[in-house]
Amino acid sequence: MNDLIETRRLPTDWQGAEMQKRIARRYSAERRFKAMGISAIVLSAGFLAFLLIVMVGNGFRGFTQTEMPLQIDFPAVTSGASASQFEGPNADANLQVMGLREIVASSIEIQYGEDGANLFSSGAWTAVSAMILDNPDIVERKATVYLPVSSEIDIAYKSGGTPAAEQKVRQYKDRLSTGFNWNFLSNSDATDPMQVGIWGAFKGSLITMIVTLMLAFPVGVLAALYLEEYAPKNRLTDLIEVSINNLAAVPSIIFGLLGLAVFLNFFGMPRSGALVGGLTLALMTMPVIVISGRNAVKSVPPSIREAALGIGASPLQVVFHHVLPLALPGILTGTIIGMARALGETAPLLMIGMRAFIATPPSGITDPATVLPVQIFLWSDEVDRGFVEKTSAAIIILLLFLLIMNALAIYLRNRFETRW
Amino acid sequence: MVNSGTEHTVKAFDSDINELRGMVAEIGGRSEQAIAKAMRALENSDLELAAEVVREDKLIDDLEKRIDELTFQTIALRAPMADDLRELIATFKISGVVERIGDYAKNIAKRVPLVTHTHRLRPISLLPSMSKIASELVRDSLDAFARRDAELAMEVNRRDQIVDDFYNSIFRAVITHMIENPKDIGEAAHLLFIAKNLERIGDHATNVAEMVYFAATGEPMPERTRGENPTTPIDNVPKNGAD
Amino acid sequence: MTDSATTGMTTDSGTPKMTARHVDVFYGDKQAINDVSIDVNMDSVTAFIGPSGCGKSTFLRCMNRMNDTIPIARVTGEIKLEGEDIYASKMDVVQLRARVGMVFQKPNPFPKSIYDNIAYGPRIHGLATGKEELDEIVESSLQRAGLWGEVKDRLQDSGTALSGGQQQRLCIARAIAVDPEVILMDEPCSALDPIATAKIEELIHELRGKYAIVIVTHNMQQAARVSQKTAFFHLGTLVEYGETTDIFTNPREEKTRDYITGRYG
Repeated sequence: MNDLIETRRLPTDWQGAEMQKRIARRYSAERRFKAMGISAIVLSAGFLAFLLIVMVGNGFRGFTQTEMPLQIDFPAVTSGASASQFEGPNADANLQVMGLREIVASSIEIQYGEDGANLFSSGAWTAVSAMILDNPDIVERKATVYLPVSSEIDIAYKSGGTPAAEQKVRQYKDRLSTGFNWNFLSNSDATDPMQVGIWGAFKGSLITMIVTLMLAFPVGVLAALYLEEYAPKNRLTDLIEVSINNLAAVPSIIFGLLGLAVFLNFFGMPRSGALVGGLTLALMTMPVIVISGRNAVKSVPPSIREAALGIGASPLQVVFHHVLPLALPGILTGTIIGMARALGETAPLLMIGMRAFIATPPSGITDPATVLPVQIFLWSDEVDRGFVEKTSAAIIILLLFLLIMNALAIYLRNRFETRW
Repeated sequence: MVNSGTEHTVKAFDSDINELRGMVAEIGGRSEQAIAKAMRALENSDLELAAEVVREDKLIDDLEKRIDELTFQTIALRAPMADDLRELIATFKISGVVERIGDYAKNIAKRVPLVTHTHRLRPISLLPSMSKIASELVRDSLDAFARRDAELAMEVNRRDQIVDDFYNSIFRAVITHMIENPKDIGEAAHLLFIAKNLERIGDHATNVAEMVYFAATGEPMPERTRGENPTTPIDNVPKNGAD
Repeated sequence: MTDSATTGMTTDSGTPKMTARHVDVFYGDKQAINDVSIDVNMDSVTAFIGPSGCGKSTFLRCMNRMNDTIPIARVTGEIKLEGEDIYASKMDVVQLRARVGMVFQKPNPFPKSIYDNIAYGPRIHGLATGKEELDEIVESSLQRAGLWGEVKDRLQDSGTALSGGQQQRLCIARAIAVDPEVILMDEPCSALDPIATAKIEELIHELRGKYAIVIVTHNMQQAARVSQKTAFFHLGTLVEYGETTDIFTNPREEKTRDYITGRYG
């Protein structure tokens, strides 16, 4: 048994020239690999940086608006209105009847002449009503309010526009100032780029995401648990596994067609609603959750299951007391990835009609709504140059949303991660 | 149950055991030789040969110490089980017993110078036969150990009876002679001791045989009455030399 | 092949806790256990020894039906716990596994606190009616396992933060907590250093008599130290079963002798 074959092998020359060459080749291979890795990272980071810089460069101006001062002599034009009228429950009603639009228009005319109307944004008067609600005392005195200018002036001031507009800019140069465009964050879609906001789309995205999560998460997780822990290993299970894997690769627009055919035409659900959007996106996200869920469950070591079975835990207890808690970080990560993908989907939602002009944010899942990516798409189609910066600004908001979601994913995963 | 002859997976264990067997065979051979030489010295009153036997007993003692050491080491390092363990325990005890056999041979040799005139004593003629049988017992018991032969061991056990019978005869004859020839009492006493030594050698051979039986079968050897029976009244011996 | 070695069946100490008769185990077409019959008593520790792949672990896992988790495994024959056939359809596997506990080769505490590790079993089987009773069970189990002194001040620490030997004792305490009748140990000390091993062996000695213990080990010296009865398995057959002293000083079968003296052909 122990007869070793005596080979006529010379002792190995580890210091010889051959070996040195091998060492040199090996080191240079390692270096090359490292270099390739680093350049891949640098390239990807470069693309990302490029995107961010371009977006931020274009979009940050969407958060600012050009303003001009306007003097309004409230006591004169409202014939003695008092602050108390605009406090309490009757404030809105009183605002409606005071004819603020005409007040502002006439004040503009007084100060800037007939032409003055073109200087200011058509929705500028709404800013005044917001100011009154904030600070009712203002109606008892002469006040100088800063109102947003019209779109052409805004563009001309920021980056250059038509010759006429630029001339106006030169004319009023010392009165123009830049302020933060809070409206962008609280308004919904509008025809005037100075008045658009992302809140409507944002809320629509939020509601759609919630619907998607409510549907895709439980179904996906339970399916993953069943397939991994209970399902017998036969042809049928293989078929299901293959189908789910393929489903995850199906182009999203197909899901849009599915939603159109099934939810809208067959079931007759309300078009443009977050419900249908959420359902469609849930169909799309569920395979991703199942796949990542299965992987997470597979990675739970069998020793944990054996330990639990050995102590007399039933299969259900093994799954829910031991496997699921350990697989949860992986499942959550997969879920957030799926949700982030769903957040950025445009094509399927366009197909089911979430592309309407939504001027008010949705208040329920059946109200017509739109989502951020669709809003971005619609704005990018607009002719008015003022929408360019707004589109980029909306993209920045979307990226921030995604960033927050990912941060949430990492936080949740770290919190639930138990070491074993 | 005989060893299947299969080797241990750890070859060093086998070589340890073989070394021990060799040493046991050697100490056995030396002791047998010592008996033979001592008896020859006695027959021929060869004082030089007797002195040689006494000297060479030291070798036997050293060999026994080495066997003990190696056995001890093997038990500690190899964690022997079953028949290996039995063999090693047997080796331990057998080497001690054989060393004592050597001591008896030395004792016989020491008495050679003191028994110069015993040719006249008739019982002395029985001693060579007795020693031959005792010697054979020693040889056979060690053969049985080498071959793990439980049957041979039992036979050795039985044949010791012959040595015992020899002793009984010699005892009676020498006592008679001592009564009839009181001036020979000194030498006759030595003769008795020599006979006694041979009888003890026979007994020790049966000790070896018992160990061999245990090593081979794992069971203790069935009992046999042994030993001389010195309390048997010697009928025809008158008291105090009176008629 | 040879007939099953049913020697040692008539026990000298009352009725056996678990009995197996003519058990065969198949993995698909391959037969892993061949006509094994054996008794396990309350007052002795029984050791299963044998070379790798001889089926000792497979047979052990039959005794608490852990082989059920392997789809291609098929068990025939009769295994009884206190006279009840454990493979009968009316035997609840979950309760069986509480009555016949198992300790595995690699310590596998749950990734929970030490307290929860022990308390989990009693909780799911409803063995405690309140926090106080549960605390008592946890304390007594840890004491029986010889771990109480070392962990009583840090019951909320994670079970996986203990050393290997402590983890294994934790697993033993966990098995004890559900009040088993039999404890099966599958090479419990293979992954441990000699000191931890000695502590576990001492623990086994203390547990003897309270639980029927079966230990699978590939370390013959451990089997000799720890058990009163030893069963030698070879290629799925039970070759010899008897008192540990006899097996190790004067085994009857040649295969047994060859194995324990280190003579593999």
